[in-house]
Amino acid sequence: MSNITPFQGETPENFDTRCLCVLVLDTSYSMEGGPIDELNKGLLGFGDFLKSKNSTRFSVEVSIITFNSTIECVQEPALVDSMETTDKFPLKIAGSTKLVDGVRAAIKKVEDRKQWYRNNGIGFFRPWIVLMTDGYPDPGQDIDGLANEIKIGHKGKHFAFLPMGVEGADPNFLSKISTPEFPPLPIDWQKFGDVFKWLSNSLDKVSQSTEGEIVKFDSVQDFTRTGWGGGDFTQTPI
Amino acid sequence: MYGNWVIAKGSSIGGRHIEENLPCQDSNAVYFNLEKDYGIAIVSDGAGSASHSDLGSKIVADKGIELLNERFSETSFQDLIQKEQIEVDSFFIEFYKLLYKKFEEYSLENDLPIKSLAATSIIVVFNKSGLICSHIGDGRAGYQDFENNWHSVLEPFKGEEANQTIFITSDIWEQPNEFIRTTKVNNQIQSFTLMSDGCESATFELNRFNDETQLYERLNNPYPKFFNPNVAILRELATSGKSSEEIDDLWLKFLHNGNSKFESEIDDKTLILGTLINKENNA
Repeated sequence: MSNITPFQGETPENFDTRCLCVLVLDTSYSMEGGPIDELNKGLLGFGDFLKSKNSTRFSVEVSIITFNSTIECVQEPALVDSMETTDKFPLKIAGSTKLVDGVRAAIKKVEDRKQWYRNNGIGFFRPWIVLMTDGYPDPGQDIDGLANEIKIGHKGKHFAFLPMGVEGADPNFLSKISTPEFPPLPIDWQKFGDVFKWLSNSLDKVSQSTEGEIVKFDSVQDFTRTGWGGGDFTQTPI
Repeated sequence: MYGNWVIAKGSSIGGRHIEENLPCQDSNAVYFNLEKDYGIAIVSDGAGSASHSDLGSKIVADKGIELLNERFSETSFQDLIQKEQIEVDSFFIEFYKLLYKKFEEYSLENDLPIKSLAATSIIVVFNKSGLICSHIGDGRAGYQDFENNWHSVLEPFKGEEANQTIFITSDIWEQPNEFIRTTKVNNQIQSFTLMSDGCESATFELNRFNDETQLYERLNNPYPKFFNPNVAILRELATSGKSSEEIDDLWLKFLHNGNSKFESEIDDKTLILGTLINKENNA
C-alpha cells in the first residue's frame, strides 16, 4: 500500500472509433504545374501529420478520389499505417473536370464505408468529404442535383462537406454546393502543406470530441487567399 | 458503510474540461438501506453540449436516490425483482417520469431551459440476491456472479455517430419504452459496476478483430483483468478498516491517472465498483 493508490488492473485493447475523411481531388489539366506538384507534396505531408499522433494514426481513415475526365478511387478508406504505395502516386493530371461525378463517388464511398463500420461493429464519427478544385464542372454536369444531395446529406448528418477552391475555382459554384458550417474556403495552392496540416489537426479534434461538444478548429488565415475566419462545427446529440 | 458491501465511487474531471476551465459534468451517488437490505448506485453524465449539465447530473444523482427510496417504501426491492419484466419496466418508467418532473421544477425555479440540464442516467439497485439496472443514454454496467464470471447488464444507447446519445431531457416521453431500458438479474451477485462512457475504454472490451472471420466484432464485456484485482483490493481495504471516505479518496486518484487510459481520457470519468466484503459468508 505504499503507492498513492493501491488500485490497479489491466486495461483491454479496444479499436479506436473511426473518423473517415474522403478527399475529392481535381486532377484536370488546369492543375498543371505548381498546383499538382504542391498537392502531391501536401498529400505526403498529410500522411506524416496523421502518423505523428496516436489519436489520428489509429482513428482517421483516408480515402482519395480523383476526378478529371474520369473518376478514380486511388486510395480506398484506410488508416495511415495501412496505406500502400502504388503507381497512382504522385497524382497526374489529365482531361477535363467531372467534378459532380467525383463528389457523388465520394458520397457513395462514405455510405459504403459507414455500412462497413456498422457490419463490423466499429464506431465512427461523422465522415468528412473534402473537395479541392481549381475549376468549374464540365458542361452537362448536374450541379443542382449535387447541391441538393449535399444539402440532404448535411441536414441528415450523413457527412460534413468542406469545399476548397484553389485559384481559378468559381466561388459562386462552390457557394451553391456548400453548407452553412463550411462555406467555400479559398486556398492558396502554394500553401497546400498548411492546408493538410490544418486538416490533420481538425480531424484530430473531431476524433477526440465527446458527445455534443462544439469542436473549435484552428484559424485558416494562414492558407486562405481572402478572409474566411474558420468556424465552429457542432456535432449535436440526437 | 454499506452493510455487507464495500463500494468505491468517484467522478474525475476529464482533460478537456480542465483545459477549458469547465466543471466536471458527471455525478454519482450511492445509498444503502440496512433495514430493508437494498442499495442504490447512480451514475449520471451531463451532456457536453448543455450549458448546465453539471447541475442536471446532480439532480439525477440526488433526486434519484430520494425518489427511489420513496418508491421502495411502497414496493420492496425483493418483491420488485420477482415481478415480470413488464412490471419492472413500468416501475422505472414511472420513476423516471417523477425524476423528469424534478427537472421541470428546477428549470422553472432557476429560470434555466430544461435542455440545458441534459444528462444521462444509470441506476443499479442491488442486494446479494440480484440487481436491477435501468438507464437512459450511454455508459456501461455489469455484475459478477458467484462463479466469478462478469456479465454486462446494459446496452448503451448510441446514435449512429460515436458521440451521440439521449438524455433524460430528450424527447423520449411519447415512447418511453424505447429509451428507458431496464434489466433485472434475479441470481446471486457478488460484485457490480456502473460507469460513465469516459471509463468504458479502460474497463470494458468493446470490440476485437476476429482472425477467423477477418471481421471486427462489437463487444460489451466487463474486463475481468481490470475488475478482479480491484475487487480484491476493495475487500482488503474494507477488512483493514478503511472508511468509505478513505476508499473513495484512493479511488478518485486511481480514476485520475491510475493507468494510461484514465490519464489520457479527455472526457469526465465516473466509476462505481461494489463487492460483497466476504463472499463466502454470503453464499
